[in-house]
Amino acid sequence: MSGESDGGGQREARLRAVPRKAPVRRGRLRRAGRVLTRRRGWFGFAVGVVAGATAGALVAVLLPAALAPATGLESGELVILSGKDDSAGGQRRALLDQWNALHPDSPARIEELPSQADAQHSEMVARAQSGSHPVDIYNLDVTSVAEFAHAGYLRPVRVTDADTEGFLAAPLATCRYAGKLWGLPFNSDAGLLFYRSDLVRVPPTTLTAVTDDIAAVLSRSGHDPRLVAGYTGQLADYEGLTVNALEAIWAAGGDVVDGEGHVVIDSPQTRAGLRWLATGLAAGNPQPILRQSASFDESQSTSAFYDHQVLFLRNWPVAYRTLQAPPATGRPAGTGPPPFDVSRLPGPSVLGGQDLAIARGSPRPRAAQALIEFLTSERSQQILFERGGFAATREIVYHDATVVDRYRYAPVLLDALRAARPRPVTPHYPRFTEVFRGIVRSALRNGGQLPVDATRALADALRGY
Amino acid sequence: MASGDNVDRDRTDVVGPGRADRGTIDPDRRVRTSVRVHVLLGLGVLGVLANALPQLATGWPTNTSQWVLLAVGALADAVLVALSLDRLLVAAPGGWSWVRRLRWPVRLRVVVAAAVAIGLLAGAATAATNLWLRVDRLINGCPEPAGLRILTTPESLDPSRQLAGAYEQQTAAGNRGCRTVDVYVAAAGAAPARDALAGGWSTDALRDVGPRPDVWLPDSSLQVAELRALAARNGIAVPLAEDRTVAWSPIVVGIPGSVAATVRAPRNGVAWSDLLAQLTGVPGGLVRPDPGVSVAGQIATTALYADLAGARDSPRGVESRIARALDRGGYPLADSGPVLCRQRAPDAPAAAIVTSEQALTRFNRGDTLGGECAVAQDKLPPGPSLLAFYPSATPGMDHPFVRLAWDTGPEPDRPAGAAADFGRWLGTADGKQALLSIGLRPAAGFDITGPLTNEFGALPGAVFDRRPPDPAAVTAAMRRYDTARRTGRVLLAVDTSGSMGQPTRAGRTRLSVAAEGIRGSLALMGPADEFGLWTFPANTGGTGVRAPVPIGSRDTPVAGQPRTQATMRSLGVQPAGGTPLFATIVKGVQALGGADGDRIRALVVLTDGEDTTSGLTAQQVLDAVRDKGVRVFVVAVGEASCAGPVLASLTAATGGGCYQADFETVDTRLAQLFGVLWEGDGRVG
Repeated sequence: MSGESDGGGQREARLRAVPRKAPVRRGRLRRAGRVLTRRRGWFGFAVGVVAGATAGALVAVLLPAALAPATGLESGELVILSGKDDSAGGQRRALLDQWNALHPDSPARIEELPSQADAQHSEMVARAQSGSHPVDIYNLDVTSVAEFAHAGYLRPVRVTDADTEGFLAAPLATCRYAGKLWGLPFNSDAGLLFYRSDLVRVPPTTLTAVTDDIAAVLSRSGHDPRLVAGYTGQLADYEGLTVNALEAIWAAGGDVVDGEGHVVIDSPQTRAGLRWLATGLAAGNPQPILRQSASFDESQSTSAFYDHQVLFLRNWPVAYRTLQAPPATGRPAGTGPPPFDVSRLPGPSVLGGQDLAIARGSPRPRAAQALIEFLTSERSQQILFERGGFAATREIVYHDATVVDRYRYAPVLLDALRAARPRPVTPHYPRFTEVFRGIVRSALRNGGQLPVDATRALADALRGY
Repeated sequence: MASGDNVDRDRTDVVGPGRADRGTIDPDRRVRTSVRVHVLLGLGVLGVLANALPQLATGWPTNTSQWVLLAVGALADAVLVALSLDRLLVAAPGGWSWVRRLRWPVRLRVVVAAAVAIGLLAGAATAATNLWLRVDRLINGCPEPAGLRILTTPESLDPSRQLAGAYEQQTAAGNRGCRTVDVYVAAAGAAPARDALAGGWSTDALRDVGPRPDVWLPDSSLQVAELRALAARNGIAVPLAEDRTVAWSPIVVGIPGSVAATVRAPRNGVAWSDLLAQLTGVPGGLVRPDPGVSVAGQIATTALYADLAGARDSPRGVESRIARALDRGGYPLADSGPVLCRQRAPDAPAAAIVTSEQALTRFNRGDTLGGECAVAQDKLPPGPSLLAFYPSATPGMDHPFVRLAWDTGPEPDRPAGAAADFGRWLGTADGKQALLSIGLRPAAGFDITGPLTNEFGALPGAVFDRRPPDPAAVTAAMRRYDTARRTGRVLLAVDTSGSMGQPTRAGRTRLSVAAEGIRGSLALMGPADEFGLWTFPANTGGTGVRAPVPIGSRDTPVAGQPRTQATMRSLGVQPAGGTPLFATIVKGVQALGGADGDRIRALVVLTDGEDTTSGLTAQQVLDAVRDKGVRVFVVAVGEASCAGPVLASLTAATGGGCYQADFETVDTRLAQLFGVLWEGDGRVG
C-alpha cells in the first residue's frame, strides 16, 4: 500500500499500471509454495527430524526445571522496609543478627522509617511505585495488606496449612486478601481497658456499665480532686479516632461495614455508640469523658490516666510499660501513677499489628519467604514478646510462664485478640479512614447524629472515591 | 452505514457524467485543487480549534509568550493534521484518482462522509475506552493513586498540607472522581533538611527525618542556595530537577488592632527605622521568631539591620529591645508558630511581631499554628488581630518549588511523574488560587484577593521587594546578630538514674550516647557564654543533685581542667537510682536566678523518665518556676514524654520548651537548642 502511494505526479500512472494488489500477493505465495514443493523429499525429511529432535530435547530439559519447585535460597542482601524498632532493647535487630549468622549468603538489613504510620505508608507506596530502590520485604500495617496486594506490589507467600498452624486466627486473617495469603503476621495488638483498681472493683463489660461506674465514683463526695472525668481514649483526628469510634460502635452492637463489604453505618446501634462518645465529651457533671480527649493521642491519654485525671483509659498494651509504678522510695502517698488493672474492652477491640509481606519486585523471593518464616516462628515470637514487649501472633507464647510473669496482662490480651475484629478490608483503606473520621467528627459535634450522606460517602470511599 | 450506502449510490449515479468530463482537463484540475484547498482549510481550522480549545479550557493566555506558544502550536498542529489526513485520503482505496472521477459536489460529500466516518470511529474508540474504564471502576474502584512525598519546614507544615489537599481534590475532578495522587507532607528544620538532602537522603535520614521527598517546599530560595553551597563543598550532586519561585510572602510588622492607633505611620512604604521608632507606644514591645530556627526570622533580622545607620541605632540596641519583649511576654525562642501561639493566649501582652504576611493572616484567620494551637479556632476579633505594616522595600519570603529527581533509572517512576504534575498545577489558575488561600501571593499578574485583604489584616496592593534574598547579605546580618545577641547562661541537668544505663540499639548506654551529644553542643559555646553541669540523682536513694561543673564561662577551668573535659568526665558515672526530675527543675531554676537582663538564662534537663522521687506535684513545680526569668527546656528521651500535659505546660509557662528525641537524634536536638541559647562564634548548622 505504502509503496503505491508515494511519489507525487507519477502516482496515478503507476496506479493504472498495477491493476490490483491482491493478485501480487497471491503470486508471491504461489512462488513460495513452488520452492517448498521442489525442496520436499529427503532433505525436508532430515530438516524435520533435526528440528523435532532439538525441540523435544529442549522441552525435556527445560520443562521439568521450570515446573519443579526451586530449592535453596537466592544469595544477596535482603532489605526489610519497616517502621522504627520500638521494642525494648532492639529485639528485631537482635533476631536479624541471628539470621545473618545462620545465612551469611542471604544477609538481611532493616531500612527504618519514622514511627508515624502515615509516613511509613507513604514511603512504602512510593518505593513500590518507583521500583528503583530495592525492597524485598515490607513490614505492613494490617490495614495496608489489601491495598498492597490489590495494587500488585506483593507476591503471595507459598505455604501449606501446616505452616500457618499455631498462628492466632485474627492476625493471620489480616494477611489474606482475595483468597490468597500475602504475608505472615509479625506482631499483633488489641485495645485494652485500663481501670483504677482502687476505685472500680469489677471492670465493666458494657458501655452503660462504664457510664454507671463513672457516675457512681465521681458523684461520691470527697473523691480525689485530681479525678476530673471518667474516661479517656484517643480522639484526636488521626487513625486513633477511627479505632476508638469503631470500638464504641461495636460495643453498642452496631457496625460500619459488614462482612460482605456493605456499609451498614445507618443503624440505631451505631448511632448509640457514637452518641456515647458525643454526650460523654459534652460538658457534664460528672464529666463522663475527659474533654481534652478530643485532642489526645496514645501518649497524651496515658499521661492523663497517669496523672489521676480519669477512672478508665482505652489504650494498647504498650501503655502498661509507662503506667507500671517504678520502684518508689521516699515517694509521698498520692504521687506517681495510680493503682490500676486491665480488662477487655466493653466490646470487641480493633485488631492492630503488622504483617511481613514479600515485595513483587524482589529478586530473592525464596530467601525473603524463609526470612519471614524465621521472624514469625515460635522461637522468634517468644523472644519478641518476652524481651521486646511485642504482642506475639502465636498463641503458645501467651501460655509461656516467663511471658505471663513479666506481662501480667498477657492472658487478658490473648482474650482480647481472640475477640478482636479487623478494620474494614479494602484496597482503599487510606481513603476510607479519612472519610470515616470526617463522619465521626461531625457526629461528635452533633450529639452522635450521622451526616445525611454518611452511607453514600463511605460506600464511595470503600471504592476509592 | 447509511452514509456508506449514499456514497455507493452517488458513485454509480455519477459515473456517466464523470467519463464525459474526462476529455477536458482544466475544469477537472480546478475542481480538484478547490477540493484540496477546502479540505486543507477545513482541517486547518479543525487543528487550530483542537489545540486552542484545551488551552482555553484552562484560561486565556496571560502573557505574550503564552500567546506566541499558542499560535505556533496551533499552526504546527494544523499543518500536521492536514497533511496526515490528506495522506489518508490519497491512500484510500483507489486514491485521488477515484475521488477525482467524481463530480465536485459529490466529492465534497465523500470528503464529508469520510470526515464523519473518522469522527464516528474516534467517538466509538473513546466510548469503548470510557466503557472499559467504567466497568473497571465498577469492579475495582479507583486505581491506586501515585504516592507523592513532600518535605517542608515546620513553619509551613499546616499550610502545605492544605495546599496538598487542594491538589489531591483537583486531580479527582479531572479523573471521574478518582484522586490520581496521595500526598504525604513531612516537616524538618532548615539544618536537618539541608543535611539530609546534601547527603543523598541516607537511611539515617529516612528514619530520623522522614520519607525521601519528591518535592521540597522550603520557605525561601536562601535554603536552596545553602543546600547548593553545602553540596558543592562536599562534592555531592543533589538532583534538583526544578527550582523556581511559586509564591511570595513579604516580611511585615504586625501590630495588634487594640494599639494600632498609637502608631503614626502609613501601612506601606515607611522606612524600617521610622516604623521601629513608632513602636514605643506598643506595650508588649517588639518580638520576632528566633533566627536560629526560623528562616523568616533570619530575613526579618536582615531587613531590621539594613536601615539602622540612619536611625542611630545598632544591632545590639535592637536585640536588647527584642530580648526584653520576649522575656516579658513569656514568648518561646522558636519559629513563628509557637511565637504566634503565645500571642493568642488570653494573658499575652499586646506586642508587635515581625513575621511573614502569611503567618500573620493565618494567625488572624484562626488557623492552626501547631503545638498548643493545633486546633483551628474562629477568626480573631479586631482587638488582638494583627494589622500588617509593610515597611519600604520590605523583603519577601520567595517560596520555591523544588523537584528532586533522585532516580533516573529505566523504571517508570510514578512518584516522580506526580511531582512534576504538582509543579505544573501550581502554575495554573487553580494552583495559584490554592496558594492564595493559604496566605501566599502567587506570581505577579494574579489578582490578590481574600485572605490577603484587610479582613485579615493584609494590604493586597502592598509594595515589597520580590527579588530573592541575597545569601551574602543574610550571612553578614547573621554574623552581626551573633555578636549583638545576648550571651547565654545555661545549666544542663543530666539524668543519671538507673534507666540511663540501658543499652541503646547502637549498643552503647543511653548516658554515653547523651554525653556524646553534649560534647558536640559544648563546641558551639562562645567565649562569653556560661555553662554548668548537674547530674541527678546524687545518691543511690534516688534523691538530690550533684553539681560537678559549677556555672562559669567557657574558658574558666574547673578544678584545673578545661570545662569540656571536666563535663565529659562527670558524665562518666555509673547510672543508678530514681528520677528526682521535679526537684531538680525547681533547684536548677533557683540556682540560675538573679537579675541579669543581658543573658538568656536557661535550665536544660535531659531525662529518660517520669519523675519518681521528688515528692512534688506538678502544680507545686509550676508555681516554683513561673516568672523567675529562667527558661526551662526538657529534652525527653526513652520513656520520657513531652506529650503528657505536665512537661509541655511546665516548660511552656517559662518560655522554654519540651523536645522529644530518640537516641539517634538527641545530638541534633541538643545542638539546635544550644545554638539558640548561646551567643556562640557563628550560626548553628
